[in-house]
Amino acid sequence: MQKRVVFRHRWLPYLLLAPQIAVTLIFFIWPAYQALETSFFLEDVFGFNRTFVWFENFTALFSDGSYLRSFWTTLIFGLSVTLLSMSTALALAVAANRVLRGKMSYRTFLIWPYAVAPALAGVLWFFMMNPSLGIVAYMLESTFGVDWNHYVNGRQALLMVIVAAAWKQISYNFLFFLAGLQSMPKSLIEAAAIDGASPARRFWTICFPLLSPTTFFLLVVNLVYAFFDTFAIIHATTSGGPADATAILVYKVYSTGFVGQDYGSSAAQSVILMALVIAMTVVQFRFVERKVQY
Amino acid sequence: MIRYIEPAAAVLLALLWISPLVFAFWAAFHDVSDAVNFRLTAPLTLENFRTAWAGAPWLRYFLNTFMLVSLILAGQFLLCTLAGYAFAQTEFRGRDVLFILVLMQLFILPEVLIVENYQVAASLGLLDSIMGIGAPYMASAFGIFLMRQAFKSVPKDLDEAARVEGCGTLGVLWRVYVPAARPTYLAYALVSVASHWNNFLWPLIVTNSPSTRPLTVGLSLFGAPENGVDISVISAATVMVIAPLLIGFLIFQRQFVQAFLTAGVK
Repeated sequence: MQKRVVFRHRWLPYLLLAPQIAVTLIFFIWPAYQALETSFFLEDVFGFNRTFVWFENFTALFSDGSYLRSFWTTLIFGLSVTLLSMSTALALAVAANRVLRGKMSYRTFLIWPYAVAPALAGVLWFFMMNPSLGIVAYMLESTFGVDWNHYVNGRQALLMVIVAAAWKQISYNFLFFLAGLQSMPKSLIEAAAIDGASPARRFWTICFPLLSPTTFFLLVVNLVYAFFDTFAIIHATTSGGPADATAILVYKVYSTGFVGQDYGSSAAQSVILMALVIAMTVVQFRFVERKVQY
Repeated sequence: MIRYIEPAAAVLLALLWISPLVFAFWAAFHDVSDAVNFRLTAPLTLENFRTAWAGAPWLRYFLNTFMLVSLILAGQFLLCTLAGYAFAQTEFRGRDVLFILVLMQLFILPEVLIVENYQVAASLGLLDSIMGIGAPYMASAFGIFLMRQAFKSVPKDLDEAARVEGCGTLGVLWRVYVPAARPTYLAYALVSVASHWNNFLWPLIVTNSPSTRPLTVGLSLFGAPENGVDISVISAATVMVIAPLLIGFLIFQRQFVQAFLTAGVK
């Protein structure tokens, strides 16, 4: 009897973990290894032969103008989405924090866009911004005289995906900012008010610094979102066009691998992106989590 | 006076922000020309819903999405419960190594490795199946974190009491730990369902027939320019697709907010 218990205890943890480890190995570790391996090979057109080429896929990428442009596009896109969605969310959260009546319904409304799938948000924006039929495009033309055509104009296309992607993420940021504001000690703000600080000054010298742990957390979350989770929005609105103007790095992996069928290059791009993820995670843990604390 | 300006500005900003959604609802219930010209007195119509409903196998898509999120959730619950328990309450050789292995998953985003994941799914014969869409998501490092955390906070007394009563290790897990972690399960379920209901890239790649396609992929095909649907019909379709999740948000709103704040990232 005693022996059986010992036996079970020795093997049970491994049994409990086996399914989890199996899925992790099959769908995460193995593909990552595959990408790493494939990125060092050049495959012939028919996929029969492949040759080991060291870093050729990587050097080819970094001397490829369109890939470097995609880096810039991603950077501009990521920073703009983060800035736009976080500042709007903060403004809404400050407003919501002040509103006394109807706080719950206000909050319910504001988290609805989160329920809308990125792909659906993309379709929605696509139709609203459509140069010939879209309501927003029409208004831009009639009120501001803007000739909106994101099929031709790369800058407008990029602006459109930025707005659409930011719109989706505002709800999430809003919830965190609002929670941060509500957990703030009222006494500090009241003390400043008694000392005669104006509302704006109270916000920038007390609330904003106290919010900084939330802000930094959201900064990382938003950047990760913009870099990696926005495929659906771009796919539904611009498909990376016109002329790659909205092709961010994740979109490039897809178009190189599935449309272009260039597996070596696509794998090299995956490896670069993985390195980016690791770098961002390290930055998050090293600097943000430790330094920003009150 | 200022007392009224601020809330008014807040409401205005909020309205501006949800205007795409409001417009979608408005367009869905109106004729196209009434919708784009903002004829506020125009009659309501359900015609758009009829057109949209006839245009694609929506029932099938709904069923697919429903099966997909249920399958993923069931898989995640099972795997995360077992693994979370193993990491929280048992001692064994190689625990740290295995924990790091699980953590590595956080660095490997599925969006980044779609080509390689596609090849894996192909070699396992999982292409164009609900299982193929769901399987990679069943392992969730994040879920294991949550479960481990929840199990660790269960009082040791309860565990010992159950053992004295004659429960085995799995019995204790099922009768003590799982019931104690119920709020965590709910929070995790809400986050999981919301994110997989909306997932797009991986389902788009893995599926290629209506019999497996989830709603997001179905709708994006339905709204593709070559189909020539107008804004009212696409709005009707969009409203149809988001309605279940919006209603879910309404019912579980307090829990949703809590879930996102405590559970944080998906």
